[in-house]
Amino acid sequence: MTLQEFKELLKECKVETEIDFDENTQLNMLKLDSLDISLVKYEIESTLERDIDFVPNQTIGQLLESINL
Amino acid sequence: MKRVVITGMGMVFSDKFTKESFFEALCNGKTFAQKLPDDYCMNYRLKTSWYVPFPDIEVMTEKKPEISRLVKRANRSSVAAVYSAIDAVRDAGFEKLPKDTGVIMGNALNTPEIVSDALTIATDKRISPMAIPRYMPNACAANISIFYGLNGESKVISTACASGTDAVGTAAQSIMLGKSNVMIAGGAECFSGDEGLMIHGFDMLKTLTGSDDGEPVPFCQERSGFLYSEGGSCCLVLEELEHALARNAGIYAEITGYACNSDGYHITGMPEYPENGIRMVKKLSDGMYIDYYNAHGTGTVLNDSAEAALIHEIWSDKSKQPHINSTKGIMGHTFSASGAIEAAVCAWSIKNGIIHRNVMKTPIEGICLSSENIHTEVRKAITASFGFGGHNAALRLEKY
Repeated sequence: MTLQEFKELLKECKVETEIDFDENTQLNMLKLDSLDISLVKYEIESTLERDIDFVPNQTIGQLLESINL
Repeated sequence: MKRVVITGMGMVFSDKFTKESFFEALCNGKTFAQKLPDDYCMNYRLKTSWYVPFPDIEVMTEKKPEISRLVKRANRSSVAAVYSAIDAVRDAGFEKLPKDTGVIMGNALNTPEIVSDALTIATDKRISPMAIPRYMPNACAANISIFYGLNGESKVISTACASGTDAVGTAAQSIMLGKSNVMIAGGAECFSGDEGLMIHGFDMLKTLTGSDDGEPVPFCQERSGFLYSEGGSCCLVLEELEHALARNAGIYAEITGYACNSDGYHITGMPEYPENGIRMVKKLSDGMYIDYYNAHGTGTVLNDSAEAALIHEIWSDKSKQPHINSTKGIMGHTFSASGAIEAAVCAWSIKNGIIHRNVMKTPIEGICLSSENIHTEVRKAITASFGFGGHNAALRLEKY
């Protein structure tokens, strides 16, 4: 998954972020609602058919790396 | 006791996304029935051939993009509920609702979400984290409160087909008792996408119309059951009279009475002689000239017979009866939403002086039905609902 695809997923899930972000942005900076996180995580895990971790202080880049393993 | 008026209404049913198109369709008198697709019901062949589809969610979100966030997060009945609430609030002329506005909705079951997830777990896959928020019957009231950031009372009443009437009546009581100045009240239902679970259930109870043309023709000799609707939603804005006058709100009608009781008799049937239904409607009509009675009028053989007995007992012969019609005879039976839409129909009739026509074949004798729209002054109207479980509820509306 690329950064752009991740942004598109958020858009598709109607998840609004307070800031624009890049791969260096920490996840917790997005200030996502807990249900929004669950929903995005569910969408990604359903595609990957495996669990992923959303760690608040990891960067978007680190999250994408774990998705692309 | 405070006085309560209706200052706004919004609705979404079938392909009618505005109140204007809905009332126009009622007056045109063509049923909303559509042919059921052959594969509508999973592993079961239905005896009925007709239904009324749930309004298209994509069209709803195109018309109101502000509800699109709900689509992945809420059940479909909530999407329709918020859609109709937005129209009702706009119609009432509120730019911003008072924070203590309350919400009371009628809702029964959210089968599409439950069935879909049941099928998902059967394939060993996981279900969405939104599963529980989608199953909750209270979700439609909660989602309206959340959408507007309201802090007044917020709840759902579930009394089957009487739910919408009970919701409007309970909300009116809240204002009458001085607990609130503004309430959003109505009903929402959605059985679309449940693999035919609900229609299958009603088919097993032999309650659905077997007609060749989809017309359920309530109070007619040819009636054989109701026209199944997948649902929709109707919301009303109820307001304390002085509050409404202070902001120069338009008023459809005043709600002057609400009565409810139960038969304590049968989980699906009405008694042949509905003494409790009679007691309830009498409470609202005694000593008054009622111009219009919006019947529960489902089109089932037994329900209509019992309601005809109620009409004869209260108003005697045809010459003394109010004008009577069945909204379900045109739009189908929308269950928890039906009482709210019928209250809206009464309010609309009072405001516009029109009682919509009945779709009829051979009417049973002695009931004051018309197959034409009636243009007349409507000063007092009663709408009654009789739900599975023996839940009876009725409202009296009057011209303000």
